[in-house]
Amino acid sequence: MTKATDPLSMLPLTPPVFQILLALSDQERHGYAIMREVATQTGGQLRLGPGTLYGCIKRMLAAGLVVESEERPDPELDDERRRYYRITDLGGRVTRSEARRLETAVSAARAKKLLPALKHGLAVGGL
Amino acid sequence: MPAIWKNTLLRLACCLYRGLLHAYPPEFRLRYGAEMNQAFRDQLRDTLSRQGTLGFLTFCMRIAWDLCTSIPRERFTLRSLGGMLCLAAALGFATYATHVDRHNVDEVYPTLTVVLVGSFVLGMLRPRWAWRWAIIIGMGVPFFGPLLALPARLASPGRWAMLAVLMIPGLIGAYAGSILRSAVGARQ
Repeated sequence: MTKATDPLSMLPLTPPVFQILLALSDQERHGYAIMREVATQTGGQLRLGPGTLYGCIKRMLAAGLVVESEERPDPELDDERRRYYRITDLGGRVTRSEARRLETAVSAARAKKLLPALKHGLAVGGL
Repeated sequence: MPAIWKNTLLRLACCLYRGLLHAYPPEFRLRYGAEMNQAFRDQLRDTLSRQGTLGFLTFCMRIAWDLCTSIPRERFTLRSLGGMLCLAAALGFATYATHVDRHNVDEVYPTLTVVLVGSFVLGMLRPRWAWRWAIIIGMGVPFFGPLLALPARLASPGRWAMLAVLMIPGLIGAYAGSILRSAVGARQ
């Protein structure tokens, strides 16, 4: 099976998949660390259960968005049976594309005054 | 909450969750079951130490919701949907065979033809364990008939004897379909 390499063809992402990719974007993590990071980055609004998390990971592995990391943690620091997951280049591109898509939607909501306007300077930059 | 209670609760909940993991498809459970169990234990330990009994109850509800949504998602894939459609088709053929039998009281060939054709089609679509189609469709007349309150004639020869008679064209049809599918697959 050939994997799609066009990030746009994978959009839109479901909220759990997007949040998992975001959680993995700065470092590789194991399942529970992903769950904690997702809860933190969504302010507790999205709390993944193990079934949802590993269902998403299964599909993300199949789509080539994440890979299982070869490296194992130091047994003294962490449980060596844990599996760590790492975002791939494709995963990174898909995350950026999804973030841009959401940014466009948020901008449209601001233009319609559904959201308060940003203070000058905060909107500068982006992904 | 005393530490001994906490440990007992943790152990019981993990044991229960490990049992509930059997509701996932075997291949999913084998690949992710240990990790899911570990994530569950970590999450529960964290909840118990930080939020106590109330947090535990909220956690249980969240896990129940997670199980209710993720198990069907893993179970009912497109492949299993195809299998369910075939099963529905088999039941449809079985009902149709019953209907044909009801309207051809003095003839047995129309019923046998429906069983043969139905088994052939399903054997071709799903060649694995082709005999199951013969059983499902063959069971239609002797078993669905009485359920649908059809004439008493249906019950008279004995249901198992009737099933045995219907199984012959059913098995022939199912395996003919299965062999044809294999032959076509081999040529391609």
